[in-house]
Amino acid sequence: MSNILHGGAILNWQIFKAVLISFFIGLVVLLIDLAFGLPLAWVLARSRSKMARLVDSLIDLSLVMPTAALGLSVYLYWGEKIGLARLFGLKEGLFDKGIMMIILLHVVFTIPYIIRSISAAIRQIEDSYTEAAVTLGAYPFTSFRTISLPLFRDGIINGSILAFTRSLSETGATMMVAGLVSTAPVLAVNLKNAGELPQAIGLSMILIASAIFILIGAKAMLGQKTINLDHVYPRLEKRIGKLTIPRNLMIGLFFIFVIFLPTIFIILYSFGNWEAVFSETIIKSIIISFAVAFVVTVINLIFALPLAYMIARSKSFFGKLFDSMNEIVLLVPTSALGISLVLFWSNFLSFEYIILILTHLCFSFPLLLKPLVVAFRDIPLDLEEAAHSLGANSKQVLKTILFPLVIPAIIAGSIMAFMRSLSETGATLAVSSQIQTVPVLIVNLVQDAKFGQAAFISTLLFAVALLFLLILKYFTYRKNH
Amino acid sequence: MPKVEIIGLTKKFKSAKDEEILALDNLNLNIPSKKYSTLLGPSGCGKTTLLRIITGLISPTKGQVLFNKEDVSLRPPQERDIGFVFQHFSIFPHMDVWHNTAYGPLVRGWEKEDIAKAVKINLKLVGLDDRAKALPHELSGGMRQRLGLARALATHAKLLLLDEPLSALDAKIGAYLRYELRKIVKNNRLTAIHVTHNQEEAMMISDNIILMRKGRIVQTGSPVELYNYPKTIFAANFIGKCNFFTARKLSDNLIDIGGRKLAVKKNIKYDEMVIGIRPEKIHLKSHPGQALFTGKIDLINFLGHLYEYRINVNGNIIKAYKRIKDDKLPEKYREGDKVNFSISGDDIFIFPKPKDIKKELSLD
Repeated sequence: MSNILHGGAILNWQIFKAVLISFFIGLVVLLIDLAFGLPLAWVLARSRSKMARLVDSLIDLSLVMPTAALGLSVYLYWGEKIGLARLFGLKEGLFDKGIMMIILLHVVFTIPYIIRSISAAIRQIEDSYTEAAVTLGAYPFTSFRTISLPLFRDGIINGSILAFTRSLSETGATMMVAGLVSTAPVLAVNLKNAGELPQAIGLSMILIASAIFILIGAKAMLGQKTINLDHVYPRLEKRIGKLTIPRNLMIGLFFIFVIFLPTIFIILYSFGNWEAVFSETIIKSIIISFAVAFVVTVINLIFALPLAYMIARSKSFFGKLFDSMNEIVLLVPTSALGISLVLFWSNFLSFEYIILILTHLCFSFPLLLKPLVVAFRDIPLDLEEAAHSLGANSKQVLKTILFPLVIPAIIAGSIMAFMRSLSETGATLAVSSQIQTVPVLIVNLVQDAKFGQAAFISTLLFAVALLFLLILKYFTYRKNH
Repeated sequence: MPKVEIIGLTKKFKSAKDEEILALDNLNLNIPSKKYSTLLGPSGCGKTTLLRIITGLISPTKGQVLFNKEDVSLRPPQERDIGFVFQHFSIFPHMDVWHNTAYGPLVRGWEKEDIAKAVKINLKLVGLDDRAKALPHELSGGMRQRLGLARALATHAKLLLLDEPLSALDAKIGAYLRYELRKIVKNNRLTAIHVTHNQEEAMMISDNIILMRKGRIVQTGSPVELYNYPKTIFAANFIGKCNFFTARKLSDNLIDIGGRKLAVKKNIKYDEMVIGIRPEKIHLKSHPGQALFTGKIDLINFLGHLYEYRINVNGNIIKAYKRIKDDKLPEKYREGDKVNFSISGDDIFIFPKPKDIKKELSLD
């Protein structure tokens, strides 16, 4: 601790500035997310048109795209003359690296959280509430403002927590578009690699503490439902409700040009810039990435299954405590997590691969555990009791009742954990400067301005991710039908 | 106040498999002003669809809805000046009782004093005036539906539309609320259109029943008319209980029921027919010779004020009621006893024999 206090004044200012920038970016990103995500989520949850269904299935694309690949894609789209600038016949990219581009990048990968949380919340509201409002004389906008909005407030808060903390903690992709600007997680990695360990630790602690504070603060807001009905403007709100066409046009253009095209731009780019790529480094990276992800998923599974069952069936405080712990781990910036894990494990171990796997275990475990807990909770105790009453012993119940019912959750959770491990950048950078997983390699290639190679591997990684997403969708679809 | 007219109303839906479903088939209907009308029928008959079209929540494929001769088919629900009561109450969960009731006047931009007055009157009307600050989850089901009613009435709507308002409540509470609903509607000279699948509820609450089946109107009339003069086998079967026999014409005033002759006063129009008779019109007789039928008692149900017998006549079950008088206890018949019963030609309904009797008798 004393090391942190004795750090140079310049570095302290640097840390303070980075944290400030990160919070500023997170806030702006959240505001943009809400401004466009809210109407988009509303349309997606309510509309049954083919267009809406198409957009709905494309929303997750930027979540699937590994962030390092996404960072490159967004950079090429906004920052290079072959990107969006080409559409306007410009000789340079539209933006330079810096805060503006970080914001544009973060909007791309955080808006799905907002849209998903809110449209799930909207779908849960019974139609009859809005119908009641309408029969009582409320025009659509009034009913949206006074009935729907307060009822899916919790969905907005949950989505905002995810989006904000995600923006606060993203490292790999941000490094590519940051230029001279340092966000907090980027600075943490840089400090660590420069050997300034005390400062890196201090910054990590600030990040972890702020993630916990945000979570606690936002959770306190959940469930409070108050509404101000004193101000209703029937005529004005009636007119606003009629603006559906400009609204749909605006969110449509936003989705295409700010979310969708920047996400997939790298694929278009890599087709035009095919370079001989399968070098030894790249093949080695791919092998390392997949091996690490596989080992991590298997170990996760072994521990998550029994733990998930225990948590799901526990009626005590333990279950709830666990839920919030799980969330904190999800929200903590991975680079900070990486640094703290290195500090912890390097006392006992010196082999970097093991530390890398342990780090990946830490941030991917909750992704696997959560769907399993939910799946076990969804299985009524009656089923187990019925099986027992028919003479099945615990082992048979496990094998014939519980296990078959949680298989979809196992698959879903495994894919998410696997993908997270495969695409993670920040923690991996923090743990090791030698091991190059695919995302780390992409970051390094971009820093060497080898865009063609970087784009190719990014597309490859994305193809794998997309394949997994399709498998995931298939299983969740089967579960729901 | 409002008289509701339905002219040539048709509604088609697309099913999940993209098949076309005809929910309402060219309906024509007059719903009288200041009367309590019910749309009665089995589930899937189109009664809720009709109510939602009258409300404006869905639009018809073809046809018109008139309020006081004025076509409102294209008017959104906000501008129809109606009160709607929901099956599952749909009380706004984030507002207290007061704000729920005030919602309609509030969104219409009423003056504060008028809002307060309307809320006060209507909460008093439904007996919730001392619960104004309560939140919905603190109320019982019955109270929530009272609140639903107060909320619907707070805008001074004169046309009250009720979608199965009592079916989500406990049987006893629902039965009690029937009286209150009718009382409030009558006292305030409202026009009510009440959707239900419960014939007993419809009989007790209505001035006017509109009986529907498969997107069409089977019969309209007062409860007494529908019970005593059903126009179809379905109407006789759906409203109250009824026994059916196939019969053959012998002469203008004589029919044959399975080899037994029965004299009727009306002129018989059909050669082949189905006759219906209510269980309370079956007369149990202990002496053979007077009786028209003989059967075996399969089951005796004790209903408090009467016994219901299920009598097996060659595999057909005939229901008969016998009122319980104090001096007749204990019951002299036992399950398994042979019993004779007779029917009078004055008590029967006569229907032409349909192609498919089972289809006519099915309750959907």
